Amino acid sequence: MAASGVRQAHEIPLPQSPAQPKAHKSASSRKAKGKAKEQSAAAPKRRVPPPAAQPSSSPSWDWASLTDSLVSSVPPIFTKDGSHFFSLVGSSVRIYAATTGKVVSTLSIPRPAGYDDASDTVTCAVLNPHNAFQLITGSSAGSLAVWDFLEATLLQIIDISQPIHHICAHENFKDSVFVSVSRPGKKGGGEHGIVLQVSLKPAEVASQSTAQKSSQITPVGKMRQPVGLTFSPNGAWLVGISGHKAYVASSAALSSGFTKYVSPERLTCLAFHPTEEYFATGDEKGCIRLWYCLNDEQVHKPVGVEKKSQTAIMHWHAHAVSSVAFTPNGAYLLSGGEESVLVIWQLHTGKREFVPRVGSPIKTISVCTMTGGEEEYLLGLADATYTFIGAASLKISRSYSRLKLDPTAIHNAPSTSRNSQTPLSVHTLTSTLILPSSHPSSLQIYSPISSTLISELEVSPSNRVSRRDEKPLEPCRVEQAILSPSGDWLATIDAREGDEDLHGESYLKIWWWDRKAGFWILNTRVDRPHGLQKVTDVAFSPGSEGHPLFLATAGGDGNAKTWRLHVAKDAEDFWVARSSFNFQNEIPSHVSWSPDGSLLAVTLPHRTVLFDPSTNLVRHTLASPECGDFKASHFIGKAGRYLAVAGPVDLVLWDLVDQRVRWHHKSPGPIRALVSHPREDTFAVVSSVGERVKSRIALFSVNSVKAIKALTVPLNFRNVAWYPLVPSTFSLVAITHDWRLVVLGDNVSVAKDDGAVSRAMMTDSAPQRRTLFQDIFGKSAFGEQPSGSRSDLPASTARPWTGHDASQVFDKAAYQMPPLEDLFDSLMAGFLKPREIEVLPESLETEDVEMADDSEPALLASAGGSRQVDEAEMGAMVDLFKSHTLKAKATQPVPSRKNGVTNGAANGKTPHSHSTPVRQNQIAVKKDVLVPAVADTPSIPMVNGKKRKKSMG
Amino acid sequence: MDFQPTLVKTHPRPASTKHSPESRYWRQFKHPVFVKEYAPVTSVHFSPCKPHRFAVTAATRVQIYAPRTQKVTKTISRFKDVARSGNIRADGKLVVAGDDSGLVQVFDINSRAILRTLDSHKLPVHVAKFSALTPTHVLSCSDDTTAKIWDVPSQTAISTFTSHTDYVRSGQVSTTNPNLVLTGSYDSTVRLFDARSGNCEMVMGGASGGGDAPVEQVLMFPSGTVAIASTGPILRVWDIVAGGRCTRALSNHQKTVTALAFDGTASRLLTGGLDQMVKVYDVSTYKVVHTMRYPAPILCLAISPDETHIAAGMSDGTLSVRRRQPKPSETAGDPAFSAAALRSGAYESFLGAAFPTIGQGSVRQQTKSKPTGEVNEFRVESRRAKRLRDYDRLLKGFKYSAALDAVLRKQVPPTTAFSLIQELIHRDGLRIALTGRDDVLLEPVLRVLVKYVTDPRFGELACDVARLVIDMYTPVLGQSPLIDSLFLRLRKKVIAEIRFQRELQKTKGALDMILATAASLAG
Repeated sequence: MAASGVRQAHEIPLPQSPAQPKAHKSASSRKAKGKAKEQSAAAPKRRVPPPAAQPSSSPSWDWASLTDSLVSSVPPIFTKDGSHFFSLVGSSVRIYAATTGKVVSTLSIPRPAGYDDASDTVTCAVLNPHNAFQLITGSSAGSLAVWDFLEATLLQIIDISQPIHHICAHENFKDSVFVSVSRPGKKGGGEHGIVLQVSLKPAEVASQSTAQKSSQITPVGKMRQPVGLTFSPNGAWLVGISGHKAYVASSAALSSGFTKYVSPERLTCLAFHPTEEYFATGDEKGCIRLWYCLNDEQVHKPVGVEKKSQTAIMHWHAHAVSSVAFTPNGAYLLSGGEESVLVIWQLHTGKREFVPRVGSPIKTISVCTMTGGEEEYLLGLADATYTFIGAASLKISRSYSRLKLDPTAIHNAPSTSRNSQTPLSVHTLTSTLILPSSHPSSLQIYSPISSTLISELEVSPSNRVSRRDEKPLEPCRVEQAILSPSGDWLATIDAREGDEDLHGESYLKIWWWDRKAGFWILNTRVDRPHGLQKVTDVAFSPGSEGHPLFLATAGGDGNAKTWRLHVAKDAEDFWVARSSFNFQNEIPSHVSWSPDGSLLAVTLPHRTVLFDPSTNLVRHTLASPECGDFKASHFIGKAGRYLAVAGPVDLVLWDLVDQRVRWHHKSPGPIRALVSHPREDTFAVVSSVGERVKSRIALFSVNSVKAIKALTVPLNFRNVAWYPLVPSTFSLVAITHDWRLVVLGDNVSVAKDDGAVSRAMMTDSAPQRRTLFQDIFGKSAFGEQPSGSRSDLPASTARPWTGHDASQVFDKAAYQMPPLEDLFDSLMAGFLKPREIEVLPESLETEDVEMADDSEPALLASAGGSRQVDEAEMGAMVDLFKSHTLKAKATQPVPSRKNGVTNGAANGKTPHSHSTPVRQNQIAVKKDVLVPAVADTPSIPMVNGKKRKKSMG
Repeated sequence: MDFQPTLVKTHPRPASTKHSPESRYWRQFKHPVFVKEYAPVTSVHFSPCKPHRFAVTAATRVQIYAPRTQKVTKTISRFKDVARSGNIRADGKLVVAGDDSGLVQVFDINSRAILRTLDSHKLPVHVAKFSALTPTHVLSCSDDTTAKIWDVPSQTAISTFTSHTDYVRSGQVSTTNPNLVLTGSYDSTVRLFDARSGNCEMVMGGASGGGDAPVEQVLMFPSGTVAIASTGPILRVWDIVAGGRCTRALSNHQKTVTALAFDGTASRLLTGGLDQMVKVYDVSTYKVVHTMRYPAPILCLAISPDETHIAAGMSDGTLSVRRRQPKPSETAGDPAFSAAALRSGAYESFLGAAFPTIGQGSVRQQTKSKPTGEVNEFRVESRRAKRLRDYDRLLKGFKYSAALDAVLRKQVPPTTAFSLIQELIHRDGLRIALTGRDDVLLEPVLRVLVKYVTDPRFGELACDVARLVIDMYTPVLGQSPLIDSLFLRLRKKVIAEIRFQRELQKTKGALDMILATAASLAG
């Protein structure tokens, strides 16, 4: 949430959205209420348009966000058939395929130009109970959107101008949904929530605009800071929870408002039993409570009185329960929380089973029933991973992870006071980035080209147990990850801070890149490379010929050390300490190697000392008293003639040949980083400007004190590295303070995530499910779809005659020739190319046609093929089955397929090419609203419609 | 994400010989038996045939010891002067020895009767040995600078080698060619004589390269191609095939090397010296793989052919016999009782059921026949769940206190214990594991702390834990004498360590000054 807060502080020259301050306020107050799990989702970090039009002196420089990594705290919603699920991330809805874990589509609300979407987050979603192919979402900006997710089209937006938190809908309430919204309280800090019944029918006056107003909004009752809102499965009760109270309203008598029930602890999550009249809540202290308060005599008491109710308590969790869910049969309750343990309660007996160590704290739980009948539990974890757990085996069946940078999602008490370093480096061998991961003790390897997460490297393996008390566990943090120039070695520093009782730990680990396996393998571990003090910097030497590969480290104990590779004859190579040296016991803050590896620059507070790395002799001492404490020094240029030394705000460029200062520059703000071009005489200086969230990146050349280019970006950087993966003269990759991965530099272009655009789902959702006929007769009976066969035909007819050798037979006398029956096949083989059998399903009818004609070559080969089933035959079979088995239900065979949009005709914006079939029992209901454009889509084959109906219905 | 067992940290060790398999083997020679003789033991020699009795020569006597009882079985005291070099023949029936008067006598080992007297040397005879290949020949080397080969039946010298110019104190007949004799002399040369020509065929060392120290001992490999000679503290390896080239010189002893011996397979060389050490070399690398310390300067050394006994004679007249219990598999190596012979079934029919060792079970064929399948058959590997150690199991169940107890037992190595403590710290569970202990449960914690608080491997961690324990249990001090004494011991040890560190600092300072002075002088 801090992220969105700081984002608003900077000045993007865009008009402020009217909903923005409201949203900000609501979010921050929610944080103040301590609902930590909402934070990550509520903090929107996506930035759609890179501000190319920044008012800066260098228009050619740009920045773009490589990826955004967000965790949703809203449970994913499954489609009816369980093949896809919706995950609400930031301002968009991602549709995942449940089997592959790929994002097949992304629904994002198209923004009008100049609309800052930073505060607009999709907070809730529900499937339309009357149309399984429609999704209704609510956003924190106060708009309800109705989507046809199959075609990825936005059908309708209804603006209710109040931040929506939860949404629920039920069949009994046609064309309306119930939302919980918040409005700012009168007395500043307080905030009032209210539950509204919102009709999805647009008001007449606004029906033509994009954002419509609802025709009818009915308030149901007040509720402070709602954290859950749901209907009972039979639609008789509407239940919401907030704070310490559960709010119950009978849907038959909504006007009488909510009845409140008090819980001793703050409630965090809510789930309704699928068949019986009770619901379960989880609370902050880890108790799960079953509420048996849903009977009429209880509810029909005077409104507004807080009551106690009969409850049952189940307690296992040590920390807050973050999600509860019932299985569809109602026999089990699933719960999860920070312990990373999925608890399965057998409700009848109270016994529990556990799925421990799912990898990360559980944020959401949802239950999915695939059409195959197998039940699976989908856990949304705090590290942006979705994990499926088979209900039968209670084992993790598969898990899909995405890039995840922000460690605060898991360790919700981030150590901000400690200025911890963030590892970032670019592995050029594989064109991957090495980034911090959601757990501070591991790194993740991300390929920006394919925008996929390659793997996760656990630098300091640990059992990720949850904290015992309120105090968070102090993990080992990876502070640095430095790659050797060849890309074969990776040096990491991981450290664990000690406390007053216990000393800390720090490790230098050196990893070897296994080119065959494509993974890093731990080669050497050095415990406490600089004693009890922390390691301030690590650098690999360039490792040119004549200068073997060294590793230099600088530590808080005042020493700089070099390490070398020990080549053992019959054992593995490993790294050993080579030398240790210090200079007047000053604490070095930075080490860097000259490009040829012949000099080692050690930056001390008041000077930079150049050492000869082979002898450890001091070659030069560079001091600049007016500069303040030195922080870093970098060699500039291919030959390393220049040394740029960065102080707090000053930048001094030394010429090492002349041994004098070439120029001296005072930066407008504190210098954060300095990155030199690996080949040319230029370098970039990153400094923060003015307020907190603004950085200036200036590109300098050795020749002049004036910056060549400068760019001011509304970001603050944790770490910056040279980015060699794009063809550009100067580009950098950086991790920002709000944990975004951005690329800066000339002509940066960013490959979007696969599936980040909205597209129709069914066209590319690969696994076509087996049809009923295939189940009965087996798949092979139907062969391949005949779609590709047409293109084959011209190719085979155009084939040149190759029967020259066979024609020699005819040179002989006729009586010497073999009989024609023997001759025919071999002769014709020269003329005709045999075809693959399955490409010709229509050959069924023409099977016994006379085969003499050469111009019909395709008919020949299919003689031996297996029996094919074509569409006509299929149609006959469909009819047969309909007439015999489905007689009871059979209405008319669907002659007109209309999309299930109730106001589709009225909405001029809605595309009309939907082929969405609707369940047949719904047709009768909506027959009166026929869409005139149906005639456009007669080409959809009957079979597909059948299939889909089965799968989705 | 499975449970990750506690990662037991390994600590780098200086390459000590303590724990290599080699030194483990040599450490098996335990329980030294010291036998006091009247005078320095000048020679020890094991009989080449079973039961490997050994002849010990001290003062005027040659004594035959039985290896099993390590008691004297025979004493031959037929010399007037100090006897030297009692040597048993390959069949174990005859003993030859020389004495300081120049007399060489051959005895029957059982009756101790003098069979032959070879008397032509006029000065002390330090070497009298049977030839390995021709049992009727005896080599004798004398201080009169000559070496002779005697024919025992006729009591006559067949050959006399006179090339040496000083005492000949060591010698050996080649084990591959009965005509070759290797001798070492105080004229600092090692010579190879050929009895067929009667001449010195090869001179090694001397002014040409071996220095001018006297040669104390020579030893020839059983292959007869390489000889080892000790001159003073230096051991030289001479390649005979290459014409007497010195291929290696080793100086691992501080003082003169007086004894050389091979183990049963001549893969290890044992050297004993006046510096009271016996060193074991690997002959493939000539690196010292093990060192044994003795209470007095060693004069002679022998290892039994079956490598069960090491006998060393020392200058103070002590004979030390170290003994190793051979493994059952080694004793089964006797060809007569080999498994194959037993398996044939003939053995049992000859011996009847009376043979006691037949029921050992070694008869059964060890290799089970494996079912052979299709070559291309894909075998599904059976995955066995890895069993967790008991402390890991307890840790998995969050039973921190019990997990800590499990690693504080005596047989658990300290690396494991401290790795688990580290893991407990990571889980914020150390306090939980340490709280609520009574004196019985606290004792192992304190014992481990007392033992390792000064160990550099665990120092920091042990100090941290000790501080925690002291914080937690100070209020209950004085209630249990056991705990109090352990706390006192801990304190005493820490104080001693601090004193030691202070000494080290002083030494370091002194060294720094010396080095600085040296550097400034050099500069």
